[in-house]
Amino acid sequence: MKLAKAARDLVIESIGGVTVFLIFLFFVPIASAVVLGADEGLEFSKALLFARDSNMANTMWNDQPFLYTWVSGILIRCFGAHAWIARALTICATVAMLLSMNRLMPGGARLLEKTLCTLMFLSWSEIPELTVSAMIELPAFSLAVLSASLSRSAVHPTRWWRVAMSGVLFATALHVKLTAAIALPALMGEMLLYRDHRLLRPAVWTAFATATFISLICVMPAWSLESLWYSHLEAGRSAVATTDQTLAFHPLELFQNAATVLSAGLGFWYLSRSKRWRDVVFPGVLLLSVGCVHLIHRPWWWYYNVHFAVPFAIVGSWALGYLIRASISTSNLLSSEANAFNSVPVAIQRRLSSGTAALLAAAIISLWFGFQLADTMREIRELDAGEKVANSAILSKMREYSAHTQWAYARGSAQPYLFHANLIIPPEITVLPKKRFWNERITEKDVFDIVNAYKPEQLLLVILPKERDDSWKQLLAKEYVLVHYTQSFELYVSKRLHPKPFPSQEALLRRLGL
Amino acid sequence: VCKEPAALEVNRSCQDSGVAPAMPLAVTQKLAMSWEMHYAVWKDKIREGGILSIASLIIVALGLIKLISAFGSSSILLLTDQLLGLQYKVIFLILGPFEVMAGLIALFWLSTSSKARLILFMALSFLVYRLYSLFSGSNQLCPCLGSAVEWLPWLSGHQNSAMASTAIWLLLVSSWSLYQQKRSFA
Repeated sequence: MKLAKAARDLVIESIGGVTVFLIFLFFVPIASAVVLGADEGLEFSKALLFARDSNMANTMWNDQPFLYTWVSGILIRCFGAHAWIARALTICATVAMLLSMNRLMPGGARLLEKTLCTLMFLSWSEIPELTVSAMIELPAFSLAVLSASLSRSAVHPTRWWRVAMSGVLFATALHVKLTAAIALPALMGEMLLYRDHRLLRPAVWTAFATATFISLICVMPAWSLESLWYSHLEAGRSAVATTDQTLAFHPLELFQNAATVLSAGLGFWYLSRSKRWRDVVFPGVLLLSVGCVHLIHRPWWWYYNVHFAVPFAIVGSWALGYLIRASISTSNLLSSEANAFNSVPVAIQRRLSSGTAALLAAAIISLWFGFQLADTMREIRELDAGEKVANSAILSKMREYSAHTQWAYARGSAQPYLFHANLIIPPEITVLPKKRFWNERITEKDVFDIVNAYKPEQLLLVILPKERDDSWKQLLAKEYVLVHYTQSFELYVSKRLHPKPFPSQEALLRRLGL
Repeated sequence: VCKEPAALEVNRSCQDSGVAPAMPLAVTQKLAMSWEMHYAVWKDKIREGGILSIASLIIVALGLIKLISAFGSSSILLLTDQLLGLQYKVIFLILGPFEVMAGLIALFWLSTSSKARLILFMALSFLVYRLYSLFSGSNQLCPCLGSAVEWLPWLSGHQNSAMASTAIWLLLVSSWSLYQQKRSFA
């Protein structure tokens, strides 16, 4: 009965936020877009390779844990190579994150605050793209936040199964991406604040987390601390990462989300002044640890925005909710009935007149509409305007030859096309992030040698001068035929498949009689 | 001397009776008011207006920016507005003084409810203009701040957002004020 009531409360309280997210999904082409996030190609290729040949996938060079690839690979085996499968995983992770954020909000948060939390989270820079793209940062962080929310709801009386589940989920989050560890100080900080079982609770949590982590290492096909941990640290110390200023985190960039930052600032100020440490510890410590890590560690990638979006949205939405309530509260502020109805704490009413609350609430709302919502709408329009699978000429050309293709090669922005054409990349070069080149763990010559050794039937090359050195030119002239090109890519097919060459400009003009 | 010169009617009756009238008390007081007293009265009015006074001051500032930038040499002044079909320079010369006057009237002369209604009207006008720009598909940047973007370079990329935020803020505070008044009367 209690569980049913808790579930019903959760549904009622979260309905606003989840509805907002579902409305947002309506505007994004989840099933039809070729690409929705910059690193989708890597995840697609890894999952497809695993779905085709799991033994070969185990030999793949990979600097990320294997769990996400394993799950999405199994789903691809069950449902086929569709992009929506991996994207649906991220969407589920986002819903879990929104529900967890609702649970982690300071006391007194209701439907209004919880709906505002979703709005503030979704309108943070880059978040719209992250919540629908098949990338691992959001699912990993979502599991970590879910773990924290389970730990919080296990307090009075202590429900040990929730503490254990929290540990299990956190270990799972680490197996999706190790950056989820960034939430560990906040989680521990909150557990240490509880009065009962102050040491036993973290001990049980750690035991379950460690046991799950080790079990998953044993179950997963590949695990190497060298590539999962040291390769990232090494890349951070490389010459490129330390000198390129675009790879550093600039705190002023947070003010692109001025409304949420301003609102969260007010919320942190009020919570600290009221000494509500239990409410402030999770978002506060999380923000502190995220800020310190990103200020010190390089490179800063756009998808790390999710680390900031969570604490700012939790506290920001709570503060805005209370400002709205305080500004529309009845004029007879001392009426206890009115206070109960509006759920405005007496403390906030004593400190803030309804005029000041209205001034601040109006400032935050107008900044949100003017800046954040406008940016979010632009991001959604960009997602919607991207190339669609059904309309892609280059994809239909690739599919013509896919029945006779064993291997293909593409990288960067060209990589998602191979997934949509159901083509796999040789395992040594399936994962080619920039970091791998910075570390000199691979060079352009190595890539060429691997391509030359495999002789893939299809090459989808990004039109870049660096890929056109003499060795590439010779290989293309000797073994391949250009069958299609766009403004960004050139598709070459091996001569073994007897492809029809793409007509030259002169031939096209001649055919048209010009 | 007429003993009760509080109202003009009394003065008139004094004149009719042939007695030399004294100056009405209100006029005497007004003349006696120094600039410091005027300042004190205005300050009280602004304080009484509270949040609406801030909104009125923002409208005055927007009008002044338009008026000052109309005399500048910014290239944007020579562009033609899509809705009104007039050059921005002309629009600024008409709307700048209008906004300054509206803001000043709201600040010093109007009652709280009239002030809120005037600000609401101004906010809605700004928003209708912005919505028209949005739905007409015009990619042209909002020129509402004229040469101010040259004084503050950050504004050049965020003019649309800044103006939309200002209009929404004016709308919210004026609506909130009307709502509070309605509740207090109820």
